[in-house]
Amino acid sequence: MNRLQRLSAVWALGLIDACGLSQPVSPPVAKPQFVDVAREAGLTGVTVSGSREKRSILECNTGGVAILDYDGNGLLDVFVVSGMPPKDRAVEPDDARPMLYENAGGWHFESVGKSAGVSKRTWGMGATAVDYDADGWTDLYLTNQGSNRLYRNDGQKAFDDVGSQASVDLDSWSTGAAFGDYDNDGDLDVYVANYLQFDVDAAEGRRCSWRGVSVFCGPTGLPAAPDVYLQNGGPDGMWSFSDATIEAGLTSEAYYGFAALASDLDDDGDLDIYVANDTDPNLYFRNDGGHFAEISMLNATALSENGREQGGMGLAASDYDRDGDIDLFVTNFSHDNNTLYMNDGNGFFTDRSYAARLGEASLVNLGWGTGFLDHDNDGDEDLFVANGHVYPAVDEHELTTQYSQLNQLFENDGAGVFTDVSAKAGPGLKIRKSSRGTATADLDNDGDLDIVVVNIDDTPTLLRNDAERVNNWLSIELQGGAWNTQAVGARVTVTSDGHVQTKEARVGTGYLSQDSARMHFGLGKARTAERISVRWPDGRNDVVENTMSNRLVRLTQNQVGSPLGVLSVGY
Amino acid sequence: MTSGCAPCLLLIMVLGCQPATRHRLRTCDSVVVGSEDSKSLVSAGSVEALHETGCNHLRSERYLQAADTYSQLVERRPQDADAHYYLGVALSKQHEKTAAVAAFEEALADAPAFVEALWSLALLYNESGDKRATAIETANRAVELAPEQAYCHFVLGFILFSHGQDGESAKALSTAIRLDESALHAHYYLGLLHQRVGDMSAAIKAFEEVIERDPQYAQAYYNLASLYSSAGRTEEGTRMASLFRQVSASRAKEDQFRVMLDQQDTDGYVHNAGTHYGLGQVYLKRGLLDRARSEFEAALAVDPKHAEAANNLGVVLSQGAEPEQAVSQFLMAIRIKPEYGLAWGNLGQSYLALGKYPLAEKSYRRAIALNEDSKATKYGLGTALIQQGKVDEGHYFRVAAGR
Repeated sequence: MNRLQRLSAVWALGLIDACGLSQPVSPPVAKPQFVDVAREAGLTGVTVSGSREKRSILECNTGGVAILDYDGNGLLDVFVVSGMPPKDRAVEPDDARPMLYENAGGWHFESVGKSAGVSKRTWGMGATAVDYDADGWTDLYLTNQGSNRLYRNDGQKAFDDVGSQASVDLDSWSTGAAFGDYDNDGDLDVYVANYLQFDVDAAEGRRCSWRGVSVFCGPTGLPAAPDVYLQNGGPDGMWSFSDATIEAGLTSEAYYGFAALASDLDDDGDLDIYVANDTDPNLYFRNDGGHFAEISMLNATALSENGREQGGMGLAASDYDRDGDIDLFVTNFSHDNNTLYMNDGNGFFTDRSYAARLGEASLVNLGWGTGFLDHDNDGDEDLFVANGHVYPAVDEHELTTQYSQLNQLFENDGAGVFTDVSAKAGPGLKIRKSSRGTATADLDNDGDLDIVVVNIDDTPTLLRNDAERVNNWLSIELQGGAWNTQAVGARVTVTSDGHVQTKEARVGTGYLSQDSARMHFGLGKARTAERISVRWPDGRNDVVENTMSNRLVRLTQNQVGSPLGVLSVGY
Repeated sequence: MTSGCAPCLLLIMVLGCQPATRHRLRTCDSVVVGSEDSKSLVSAGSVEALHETGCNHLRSERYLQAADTYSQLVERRPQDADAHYYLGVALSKQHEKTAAVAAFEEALADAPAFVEALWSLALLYNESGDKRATAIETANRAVELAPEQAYCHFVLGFILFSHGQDGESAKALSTAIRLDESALHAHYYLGLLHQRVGDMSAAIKAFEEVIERDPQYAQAYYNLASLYSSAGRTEEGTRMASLFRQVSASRAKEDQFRVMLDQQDTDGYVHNAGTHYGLGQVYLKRGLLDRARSEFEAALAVDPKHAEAANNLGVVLSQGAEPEQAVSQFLMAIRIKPEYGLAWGNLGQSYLALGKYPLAEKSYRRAIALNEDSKATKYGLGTALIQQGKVDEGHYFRVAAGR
């Protein structure tokens, strides 16, 4: 450790506001219970993606969702992406546009996109919430088929599009974006995955065959668009970005890129990049001091266990087996399994999809958004997967798969083996839609994680976690250093009851989406976290001991030892 | 988006093996591609002719046409289990999975002890994702009917593998290898099972064995790349990764051409000669001469003036030790494109192989005049000259060839 700062439990407790939660009395089992409250809560905008019958590949991939606290009031807001309607599809004025929903508390959200200046129609793909200019307000980066938008938050509940000014507009078909301080200069750079070099007019009307069904063509046979790495110039460069893809060694063959992730996968203190590619090998860029080497073929993260390229869509990363390193999970196309790459801790990975019982459970589905979450606060990472096919025409054939599919919740048994508990996880998991991006957050600050799901040509699903809370929890919000206010890249380790859980602060998660920046740890029966260890993006470490459970803890870089360093907030 | 479990498709065999089954599948082995006889039989509309035409299409990987032909056949002879089976093969190759399942089920209705239909069906059930038990049961029936057949055990092992039933899968795969040491897929999947349980040296051995038997088995390179690397053999790992890319790039190109052909089928277009030619090139580079030949022939059927296809068909024929037929193809290429230096050089090579030295000399000289002056051409000319007693000039060209 470079710097070890300790706070005594007594000292820390003196600063903590109680959450108002009674001491937990823990029944042995927490039964999942997710209920869709999107309509009542006001998440009613329709994510439109071209024609309903899907005339081209452009119309089947939208879109992501980002969770952020845009107005800094402590309640988490929701930003949902949409594509565009074709000329011959009538839509309501509030549909087919990005929607910003302000959390008014009590499960009521108000649509504020128009007043906030983020509702202009684009062919949207994904969204990330990032304070790229370190002014303390979370901005929004919206990837599009066409120019990307960077909506700068002015702190007055309004945004300005500065995408062109900041040189992040990229006139391409961008999909996933992963922000991080890749070059360790203190500010946030971004890796942007791109999908296709696409000619809408040429693509429309072309038909191909999939399992005997006439469908739109692609991506195979269409030219892929190369991914781009943009370096932030920081305050001296007026927070403008420049293309450093080649200089950083982030080049590979152009693949059909979807989700991108920044994570210190080899635990050496800098951020590596992993990209889920559609029908192509996935990419693993190892960061060696700001210069990258692509090693997915060498560390077994490129393909399936049996050497096949898969249709990578979304990806999740967490320490599902609680061995201290970050594992990877990639959702794939239907009639193929989703893939769990277990991190062996030595720079290599092992495909554990079937051993962890995630392989077979995914064969019929086409997976998109995904995320590890401890939905029952029992201290291990469970898994959520959003599903939905790309071809509406599959419903007209007996293909064992449907366009609208059930989403899935997998329960981790603590030993890294999962069980699909969707059928008994409440009415919210019985909804069949063609889902895409997902994000998790404790939207009502009640100590459990809720889930937002984007559905193509439909309103979102808002899965409120109504399970009886039988376990304890801890939510941690990081306040980073000068140019990285979200502490993106920080690694937090929580020890409770002898178990160690590891999470990272990320911008860019799941499928083209963004989970809440708050890290949620289930503590099981433990009433305190014996130890919270934070490795900040600059490599320095802080440790907080004996933190009471069931509260949000804010940890500030460089101030953990000071009286304001640890702040617990009850809502 | 990917089309899912592509390898499963590959496992459905066109020709089948020779099973000791209650039902004996008629094979397509004896069919001559494009023979006049078969054309006349077709016009006569006989059942035999339809079988032969269908087989021809299957062997040439013209699955749409094969499916049409076998559809006609099953209409005429609804009890013909073989026709249903081959219809199933043609349909599954076109990813018409539901229709393929129906065809195989029809074949089994007519001939319940039809091993090839059983394993094909088992693979399709497996691929559907929600019929695991039925897939395993069907594969077991195939094993019961033909316990001496390695492939049946492999199919069972593969299905069990894909459902994480590792122990039972290992047993079935080991049986397949015991019955047929050259059962490549069984070696590969057994390697994966070793890898799953962490027996890395056994896994490495299995994958090395696969590559030794088939250097085009791309997946084994991928597995070896990480296994070598994690064992500290980084250079070898990197070499394996590079070989994987090389081999799979060729596969990817093949897939791309196939998608184009599928698309043309769907759109009702006549197959483009260039697509067949491109696919033929891929096969030729991989040494798959039969497939290359079919594609070049298909290219010429669409565009008889495709000089490059004629030339490459000649190359395939000469590599297949058919120099006389090769000569006809090179001559055809030259007729289409008289200034085609490469074809002149190839013609010289074929004449040389046939011992027609003056003709070889003439062809080589023409090639050189057209700037097709590769070392092989010069060396060939040298040889043709020496064989005719023109020793000095012959040596001159051989020296010029640097040999």
